[in-house]
Amino acid sequence: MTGEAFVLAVSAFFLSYFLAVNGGYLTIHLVSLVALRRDRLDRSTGEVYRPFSSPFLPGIAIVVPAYNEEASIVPSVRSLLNLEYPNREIVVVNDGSRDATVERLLDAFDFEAVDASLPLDLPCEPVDDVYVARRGSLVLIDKENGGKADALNAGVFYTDRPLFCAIDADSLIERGALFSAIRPFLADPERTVATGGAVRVANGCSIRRGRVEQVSLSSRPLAALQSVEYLRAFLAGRVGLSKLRSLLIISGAFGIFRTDVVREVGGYSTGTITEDMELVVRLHRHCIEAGREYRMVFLPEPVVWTEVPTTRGVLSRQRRRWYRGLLETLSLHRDMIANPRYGAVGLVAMPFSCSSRRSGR
Amino acid sequence: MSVTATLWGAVQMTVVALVGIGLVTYGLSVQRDRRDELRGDARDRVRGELFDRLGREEPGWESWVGRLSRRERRELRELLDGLLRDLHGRERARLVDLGLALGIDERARANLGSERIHDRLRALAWLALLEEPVDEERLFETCADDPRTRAAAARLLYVCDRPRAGELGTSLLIWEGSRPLSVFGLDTLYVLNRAGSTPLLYRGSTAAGDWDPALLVQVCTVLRHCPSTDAPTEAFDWLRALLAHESPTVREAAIGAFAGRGWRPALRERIDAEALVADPDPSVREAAYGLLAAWGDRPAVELLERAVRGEEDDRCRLAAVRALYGNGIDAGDGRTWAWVRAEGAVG
Repeated sequence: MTGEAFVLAVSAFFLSYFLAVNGGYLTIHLVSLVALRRDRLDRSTGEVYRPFSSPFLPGIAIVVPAYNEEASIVPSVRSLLNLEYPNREIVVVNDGSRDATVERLLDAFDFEAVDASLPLDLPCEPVDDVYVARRGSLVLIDKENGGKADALNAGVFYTDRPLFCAIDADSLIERGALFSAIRPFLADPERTVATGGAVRVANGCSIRRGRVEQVSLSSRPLAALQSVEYLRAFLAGRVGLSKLRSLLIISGAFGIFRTDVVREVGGYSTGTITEDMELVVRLHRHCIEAGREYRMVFLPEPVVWTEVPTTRGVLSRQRRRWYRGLLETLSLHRDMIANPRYGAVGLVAMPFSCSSRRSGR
Repeated sequence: MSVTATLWGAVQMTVVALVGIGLVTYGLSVQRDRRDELRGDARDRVRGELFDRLGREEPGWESWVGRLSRRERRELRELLDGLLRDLHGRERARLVDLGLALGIDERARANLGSERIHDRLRALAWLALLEEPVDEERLFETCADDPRTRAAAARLLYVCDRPRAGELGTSLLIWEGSRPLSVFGLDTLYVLNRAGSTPLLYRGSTAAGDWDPALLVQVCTVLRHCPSTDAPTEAFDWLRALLAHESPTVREAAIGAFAGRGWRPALRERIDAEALVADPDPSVREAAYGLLAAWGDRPAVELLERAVRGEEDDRCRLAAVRALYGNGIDAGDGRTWAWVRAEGAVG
């Protein structure tokens, strides 16, 4: 092979690769564009009713795993208590914190310990105590340290609500987000198993009493870049992937799941780095193998705000963790990749993830 | 042409395209920012004047609206849309007059004939906000082709309190029963049926066999909250048949629909509660315990006590013990009872 032919062959390979990857991105973006336009049109019609007066909004448990969150846990819980949703229970799971997380909660809210052992076997590290608040549908599970997934499992297997919402303790949920996110469960109760919502960057925004009052870009360049990245990932990426039935991740910062289906698959995996992605892939696998018709929906509307890293070191660690998690999940479920049995997830989403190393929250 | 020259050409084209896209994006951002600024100014002007006039004895909407620019009228319509959803009483009645002065009702009636579905949906929403009735025949003629317009038309019948609104609205919503309702449709079905008589109950007796399981779940959920006090026992026969449906979700929802009807002995006697507490699906059994707890009569409580003793699923047992404890029974041993007592002590 001559030198020029070699260069040509290598160039053709890379060109084909980038054409395939960027063609994939272009398809996803075009689908998102159509979906977002339709969503905007639908919302502009302004249905005339009062959703919160409906008596059949399903109960939701908001599961908040907390590890060494003494500085932020009380304002976080207060913010959750102010969410606009009538039928909700907040389950804070203290994951063996070494700081004063539990003491802060006991001081701030009207908790009392339930003086008996729990009659349910929770698949998590041992539970020391369960506290129930006298007002406000608020529960505190104090357990030994087992990691975030383990703490989430404690809440998921404790609650008797049909849906649960997994959030990060330091995230801020828009007041109306829960209602927006449960709409697919009401509209298609048999098939919907999970919904996810958009995550926005809180750095630079003006936040008062647990509410974002003014949205603006951070003055830190790295955070500002991530604002754009998050908008692209959620509004252009996830919306399109959801429409293509290829959603592989529902962010750990905000997702609503059917409690019984997550229990059926054994809850969150404690052995993986990105438990949120692994759960979603496992739910796909479970539903497809069981021959069950199901939907996982990403909604552009519900918004949760989160602080992003502002230094290169922290950002680098976060991204390395996400990419390791992606590769780990794909490796765990490698038999699904390019397997027609798993439909769009196996034939499109997973190979595309492999080739483009796409990740993100 | 050499490979290098081709690649260099591709790079140049990419750079030009990127710069072009960047410039267009920047231009659009500047233009939209300016537009938002103008809209904000217009909104501030009309908002102040609107609230000022709303407080007057004679608002003089007609003369004010006649002086507004196109942009101000648009902002006023948006403000009015939000206020009509939130306000009640005298202020709302005055705002309805403002809507009529803006000619919103006429435009909405004209848009009912539009081929574009979103125009028709917006028209129906405005007519509902202004409580402007539309002839039923016209509604069926213009809105029957899509589930979204049917739901909006049903809502309009309800807010305008039209005769036979329950019956006609339920027909519009259920239609062929082949797909589940939207959240808005579900709520509309509820408000149309929450009065004493339930058209939905009668509709189900003739058509439920053809309905999609997801719709059956929604219908059961709605009926759970509708009293149906004047319906004869036979009207519930189709709902009773759902207790043996192949889908556990439908069975669970059907049980829920009977929970509030324990005061009707004839209905209670027709339900085989023993079979419900023996259902193989835990979620169905849990719903059955809830049903028995809601009924709360002696046979129901006795059945609950028997069921608790044989219940093997921890979660179901907890639900059953809570149901018994809620009915004043405190006579069991074991960690489930200890937990429920401790929960009760916390209050």
